[in-house]
Amino acid sequence: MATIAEVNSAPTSSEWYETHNLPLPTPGILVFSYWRKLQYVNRRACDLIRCVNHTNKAPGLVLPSLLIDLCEEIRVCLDDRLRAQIREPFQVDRVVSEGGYRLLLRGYGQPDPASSAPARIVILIDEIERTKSDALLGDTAIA
Amino acid sequence: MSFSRIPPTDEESAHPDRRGGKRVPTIEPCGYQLAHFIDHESVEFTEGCALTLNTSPQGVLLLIPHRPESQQVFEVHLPAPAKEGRVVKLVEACWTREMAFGTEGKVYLVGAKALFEPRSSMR
Repeated sequence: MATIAEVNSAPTSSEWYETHNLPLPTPGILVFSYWRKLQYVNRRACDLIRCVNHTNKAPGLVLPSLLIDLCEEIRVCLDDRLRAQIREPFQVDRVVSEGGYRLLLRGYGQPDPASSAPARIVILIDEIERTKSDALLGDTAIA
Repeated sequence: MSFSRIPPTDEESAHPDRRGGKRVPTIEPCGYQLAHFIDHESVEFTEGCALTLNTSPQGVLLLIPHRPESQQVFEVHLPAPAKEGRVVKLVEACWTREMAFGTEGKVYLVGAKALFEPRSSMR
């Protein structure tokens, strides 16, 4: 399981933005290489992950299994599509509830059109609402 | 102000990694966010304001106060075409040129390739 630690600032949920009458931030963004190496994460993604993992007392920022699982699912789809010579990007959506938050995960498989560079996996995280249930729903749709 | 050597124009031989497409001079302020991974266990964010110099469907030329690493993926917040809100784009740094900026230090010309543009899922 990949672990990254936020060096500065405390996590901020959408509720904080609404309380302070500020526009909602951009979605949380994570970019993985085809080999699942994390190439980019933005502050919003770190905030949401830390809000979801608030019960995790381990130091640093731990990527939840729901993100790693989605990344792996997209990679499998990428493999299937590349074998079939399909190079168009595709999207996999998942709605999950965890840690008192209901999140929309949008995963994208991005094959490189030039076919010389490896594909990438992009996952966007949007907070839908805060819930009281920690149950994992796992609704998946592939587009 | 001293200028670094400017990259070759379209008429000259182009590096194969250079973005194609017609470039439109677009000088506008934009936001950016860089993530620097430290020792594979921690991440440090750098964010601030930059300037676009030209844009094309394949990428953007930026003037930015922090130097991204080669092929580093980062986030750019561009003004929306209708001047409403902003457009977030993921880009990859293809090349950088250091430029001295008077006594304020250095800025960097960065040629970046467009990778992905997240669309908002909510209103």
